[in-house]
Amino acid sequence: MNRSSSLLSKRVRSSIQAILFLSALMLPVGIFHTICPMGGIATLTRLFSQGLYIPKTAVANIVLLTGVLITTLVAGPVFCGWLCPLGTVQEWTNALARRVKVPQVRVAHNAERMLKILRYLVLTLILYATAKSFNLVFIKADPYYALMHFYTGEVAPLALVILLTTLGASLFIQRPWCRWLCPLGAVLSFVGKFSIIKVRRPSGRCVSCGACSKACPVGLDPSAEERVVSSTCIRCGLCETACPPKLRTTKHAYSVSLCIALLLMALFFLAPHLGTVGDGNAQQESVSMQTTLIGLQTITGRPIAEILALLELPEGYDTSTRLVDIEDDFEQKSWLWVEERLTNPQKMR
Amino acid sequence: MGFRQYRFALLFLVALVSIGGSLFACEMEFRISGPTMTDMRILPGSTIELAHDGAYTLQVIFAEDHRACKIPAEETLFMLDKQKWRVGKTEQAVVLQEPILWTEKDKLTNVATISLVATNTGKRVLNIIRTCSKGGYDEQIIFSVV
Repeated sequence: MNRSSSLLSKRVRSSIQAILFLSALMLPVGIFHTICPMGGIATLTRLFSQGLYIPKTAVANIVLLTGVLITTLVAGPVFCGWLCPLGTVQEWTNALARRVKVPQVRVAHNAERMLKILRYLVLTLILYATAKSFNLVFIKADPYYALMHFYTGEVAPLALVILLTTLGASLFIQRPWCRWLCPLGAVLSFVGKFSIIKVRRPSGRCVSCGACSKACPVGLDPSAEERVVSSTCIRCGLCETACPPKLRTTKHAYSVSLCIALLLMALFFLAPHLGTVGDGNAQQESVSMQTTLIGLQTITGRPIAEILALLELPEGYDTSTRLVDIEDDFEQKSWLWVEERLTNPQKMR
Repeated sequence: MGFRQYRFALLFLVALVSIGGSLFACEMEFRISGPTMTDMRILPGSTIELAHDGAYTLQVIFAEDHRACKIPAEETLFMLDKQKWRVGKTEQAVVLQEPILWTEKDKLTNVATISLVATNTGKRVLNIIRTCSKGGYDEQIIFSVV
């Protein structure tokens, strides 16, 4: 019964990981960029200096980043342990390798400490390059993006090489990207150090069976510490669920992580809609210079004849014309002029 | 650290160097040369001071960050104060001297060299826009003609 409870806990986590992975796999490229918390970190470089977002990012990135940071302060980097698709795939790859008895590399403590510094270097590089260009620079090397869009033929070769290298290394090491190179992981593990909830050993009753350490996907040894304070801990909760039931005092961290994972998952599904819901000006905002006259009819619900009259265009004018291109035919009707016409509600009536 | 672990450390250092190298190849890069500046890089969203009646060359380097981009470089819109930036349109305070021509530097990189003259004082906003379903690009450079 208790064993099946532990199995259930594992399956619940795996299901959440699989749902998010498959959902992210199906996202169009444009939306994918806006639901990346790392995009939120990158865009902060510009928000602070110019009050603007870097291209391809939006308020959704900031909302997600805020959600991820707050939950990390509460319970550690749950995002890494439960939701990150790249982390999930590394975990699956390693689990498969273990099943077919691929020998595992155990990284010495000192080496681990040195390698962990690399992700802070990656983070620094990205922030520096972003601040110097205000572009989404990491896209060309990002294995996270490569994983989600490898089938589109749009991913830079370098990103694919890094992804394949990461997956190759995952055969021998658990979550190598997360532990040593992930820039988001660098931020979250640092913030997670100050988290309120931490994984605890069942003090007094621990028989040092090592079940928790074996279950840890990031190579930690939870049985050796009273509280897991390592910044590498991704709050997957697998150590708690692997602990022999008679010794287990609580599944506190696991339960909190589960709730947070569900909350963050909901935020991920809602975030792409943030720009269009709850905004009284949504209708106006969706009209851009790229909108065609016929598109304008759909957006405003006004008959095309009324729109042509408003813009002082002749009857029979090509309705597939973009608003910005009207000035190609009528020099004085620039986008500036068209926009003024459209934003004046008196004239729209 | 054993030999095997050195190999892994080396592998990840190589990955780090590759990441670092690639980060500086940006989607859009702007450089300007003129009477008071030579090949100066312009950060999007920033203000660049132009001398009244000064002739300048603005270079726009567009590197596809989504490969297999279906929107050709020629479809990049240049809007000066929300009007299309056209050759010889003298009422636009920063006058475009020649049509904007894109040249393919390599498979994924296109470069446009733009000649302009700052004819009237004041602030003018140049928007550079690429529209697509993958996020597109919409940035501005502010010309301050003094």
